[in-house]
Amino acid sequence: MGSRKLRIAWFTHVARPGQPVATMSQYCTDLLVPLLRERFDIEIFCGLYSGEHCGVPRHHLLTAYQRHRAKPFDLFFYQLEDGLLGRSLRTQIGIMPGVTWVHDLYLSDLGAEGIHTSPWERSLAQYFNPAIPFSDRGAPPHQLRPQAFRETALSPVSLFSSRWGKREFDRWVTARLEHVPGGHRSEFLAVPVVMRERRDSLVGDKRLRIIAVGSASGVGRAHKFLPALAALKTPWHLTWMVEPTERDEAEVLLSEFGVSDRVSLIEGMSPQRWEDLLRSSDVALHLRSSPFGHLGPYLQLSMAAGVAAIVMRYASGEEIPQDAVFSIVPGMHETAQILGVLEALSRRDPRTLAVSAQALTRSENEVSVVARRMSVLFQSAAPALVEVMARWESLYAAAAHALLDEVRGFVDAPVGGMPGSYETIVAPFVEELHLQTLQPNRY
Amino acid sequence: MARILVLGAKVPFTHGGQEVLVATLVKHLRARGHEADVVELPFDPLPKQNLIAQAAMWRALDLSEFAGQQIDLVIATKFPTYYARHPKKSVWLVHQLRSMYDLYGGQYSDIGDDPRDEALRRMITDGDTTVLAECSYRAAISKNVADRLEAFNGLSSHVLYPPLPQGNAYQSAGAKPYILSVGRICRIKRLDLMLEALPFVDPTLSLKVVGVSDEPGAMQYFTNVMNKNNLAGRVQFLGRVGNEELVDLYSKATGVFYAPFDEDYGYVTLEAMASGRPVVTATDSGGTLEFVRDGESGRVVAPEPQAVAEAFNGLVRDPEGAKRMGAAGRSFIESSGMLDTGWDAVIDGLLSPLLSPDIAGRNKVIGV
Repeated sequence: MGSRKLRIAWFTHVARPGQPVATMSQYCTDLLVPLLRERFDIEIFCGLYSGEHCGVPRHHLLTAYQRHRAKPFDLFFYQLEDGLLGRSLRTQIGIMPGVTWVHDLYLSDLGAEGIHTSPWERSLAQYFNPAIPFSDRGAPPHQLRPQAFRETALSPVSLFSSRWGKREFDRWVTARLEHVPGGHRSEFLAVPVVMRERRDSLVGDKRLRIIAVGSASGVGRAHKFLPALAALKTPWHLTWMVEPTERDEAEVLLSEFGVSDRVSLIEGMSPQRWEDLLRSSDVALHLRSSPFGHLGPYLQLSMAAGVAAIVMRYASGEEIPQDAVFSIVPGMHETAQILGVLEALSRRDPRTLAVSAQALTRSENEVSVVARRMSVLFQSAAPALVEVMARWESLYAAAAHALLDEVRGFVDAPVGGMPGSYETIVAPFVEELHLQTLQPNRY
Repeated sequence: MARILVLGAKVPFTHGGQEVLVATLVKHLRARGHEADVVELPFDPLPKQNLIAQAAMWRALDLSEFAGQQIDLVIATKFPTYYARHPKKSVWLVHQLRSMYDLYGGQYSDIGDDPRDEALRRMITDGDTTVLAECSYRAAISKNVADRLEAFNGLSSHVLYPPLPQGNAYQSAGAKPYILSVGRICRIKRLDLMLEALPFVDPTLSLKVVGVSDEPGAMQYFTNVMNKNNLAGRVQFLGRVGNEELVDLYSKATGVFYAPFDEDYGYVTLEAMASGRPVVTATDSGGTLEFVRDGESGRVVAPEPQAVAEAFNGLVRDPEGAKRMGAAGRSFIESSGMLDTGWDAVIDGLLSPLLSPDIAGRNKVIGV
C-alpha cells in the first residue's frame, strides 16, 4: 500500500442535524474522526444522505459499495451497539466484513429484520469452501443468539469498549473464530473522553449533589437507590437524566419513595447534558445492571471529571479497577450498600477517588490516547483484510450467478406448455446493463 | 399534438396512488389534444428474485412505434416501467423499489444479508441508475422521492407535485364526529397506529376507513388490533368508495388520519387539505411533511398512539382551531397549483423532451 493514506469506510450512527448525540457510536465518531482524518482517508457511512460530518465526506450506508467500486477502501470499520438506532449498521456488516468495535457484546435478539433470518453461518461456510452451494430459499434460518459472532466472524481484530465485553467474547466466541485467516485478535479499546478541568467549588452547598443516568425500569436500579436516598440523613439533591419515554415511570417511583421534592428529572440522555451536570456534582450513580447495553460514555465522563462514581459490579461494571469507583455488589443488600457509600461520601470530601479515577481515564480514555491506539490497530488490521475482502467479493460474484440461476428457474419454468425465455429476455438485459459485473472490486 | 404512452406497473386487483396518477395524467394529456394511452404490465413484488425478470421484460419492450405509428414520447412512473426503451423517455417518478432503498434493513423490506439479496440490491440499484440516466427529463412526485433518487443513484430531478385527482371537486362542510382514514390497507400505511390510538380518543369520535387490503394478512392483523381494543362499534371499514362519496366523506370529517411510514407523496394529505380538513400525520411520514405544518394546517406528532389520540382530542376540544387549520390547508391548496390549473406545469415539464433534446437536470420545485 506504500505510503498513501489508508482509506477507511467508517460506519456509524449519525443523528439528524440539530438532534442530540444519542448513540455511543456517534459519540466516539465525533471525538475520534477529527483526530484521525489527517492520518487516514475517512468517509463516513450512516443513515443520512450525502454531506459532511466531522470534516470528512458523509454518505448513506447503502452507497458504500458504489464508493468502494469507484475508489476502493482498505478497511471497513463498524461500531456495533444495541438499540434501534444501531440496527442498520448490524445488517450492513453482513454485507462487507471489516474491523468491528463492539460497544455491547450481548447484542439483543431483537435485531434488525435482516439479521433475524440471516443465513450468515452458511455464508461463512461458503466463504471458506466455495464448493458449498447456496441454500434453498425455503424456511429462513433463524438466528437465536447473535452474541456478536455474526458481527465479528470475518474481522481480523475485534475491539471492545469494555474489558468485560472482551472477556466474554474471548470466553464464548473466540474459539469459534479459529478459522479466520491470519488469526483473530480481540482488543480492549477504551471509550474516549476529553479531560476537562472541574470549575465548580463545593464550598457553600451543604447538600450532597447527586446525579444519576439511566432507566427507570429494573435494570436502572432506581428501586434500589431511591430508598437509599430516602434514608440518607445528610441533605441531598438528585438530578436524574432519563429518556422522555420513561419520565412517567420515574415520577411514579419518586412518589412511591416520597422523594419527589428533592429530585429533578431531565428528559433526554446525551453526553453533552451529562458533562454539564458533572460540573456541579459530587456523586454520580451508574447502577445499570444488565448484560445488555453499556455504561458508556457516562461512566467514563464521570471518572474523567473526578466525580465519585458508584457502579454496579455487574456486566460491564465488573472490570472497572476498584480504586477508581465505588462498587455495589448486586443482590439483596444493594440498598444498604448504596446508602453506606453515600453516608461515607457525605462525611468526607466526595472527591476521594478523583485522583485515581482521573489518572485511569487520562491513561486509557483520553481521546488522543484512544486515537493513537486506534491508528495502530487500523494499520495492523489492514493487510489481513486485503485477502478477506477479496475472497468475500468472490463470494458475491458467486452469489450474483446463483441469483441469476434462480431467475432462470422462474423464467424458464414452463407455463401452460409455453417454453421459457431466460435466454431471449433476461440474459440480454443483464448483459446490456452490465449487471453481471457484480464481480469482485479490484484492489 | 403528440402521441404519448404513459407506463404503469400494476399489481392486479389493487388500486393506489400510482393508478390514480396514471389515469389522471392520461386524462389531462387528452384534454390538451394529445393522443395518449396507457401501457401496463402486471407487477408482482414476490418472489424478490423475479424482480430482475420483470425489469428485463420492460427492457425488452420496444415502444418506439406501433402499427406503423410513431410514438413521440413515453412517460415512465415507477419501477420497473422506466426500464422501457424509447429515444424520448420522461420519468415522473412515483417511487423506486423501496425495499432496496429507503426501506432496506427495516420491517418493511425483505432484503437481508443473504449475499444473493445484496447481489439483487446492487443489480437493481445499478440498473436503475443506468436507465433513469437515459431519461430525457426526470421529475419526481415529491421532494422526498427526488432526494432519494439523488442520494442513492446520484441523479438529480425536478419536483412536480401531482395535482389532485378530483381537481376542483373538493369542498368543505360542517364537521361530523368521525375521523377519516383513506388509503391501501397495508402495514406501511400504519392504520394500526390509529386503531391503537382510538381508545384514547374522545368517545364521540368514530373512525371511517376507506380502502382495501392489498397485503396478505394485513386485514386480519388490523381486525385483530381492532378487536383487541374492543373497537368494533367505533370503526367502519367502507372498502373502496366512489369519487363522489369520497369527496363527501372528506368534506365532513372532524380530521383526517394519514401517517404512513416515510410516504412518497400522499394524495390523501392534499385531498384532506383541499376539503378544508385538518390532517394528523407523523414526524416520520416523509412526503406528508412537505405540506402539513404542525398547528397550522394539521398536526405533526410522534408515531405513537397517545400522541395521535391527543391530536384528535385537540381538534374536538378546539373546533375553532380545527376549522382554522382546515381553512389554512384549503388556502395552501388553492395557492399551490394542486387543483386543475396545476396540470399545465406538470405537462409542460413531462413533455419538454419534445421541445428540447436534453433538459434533464436540476432539482426544481414546480407548482408550490
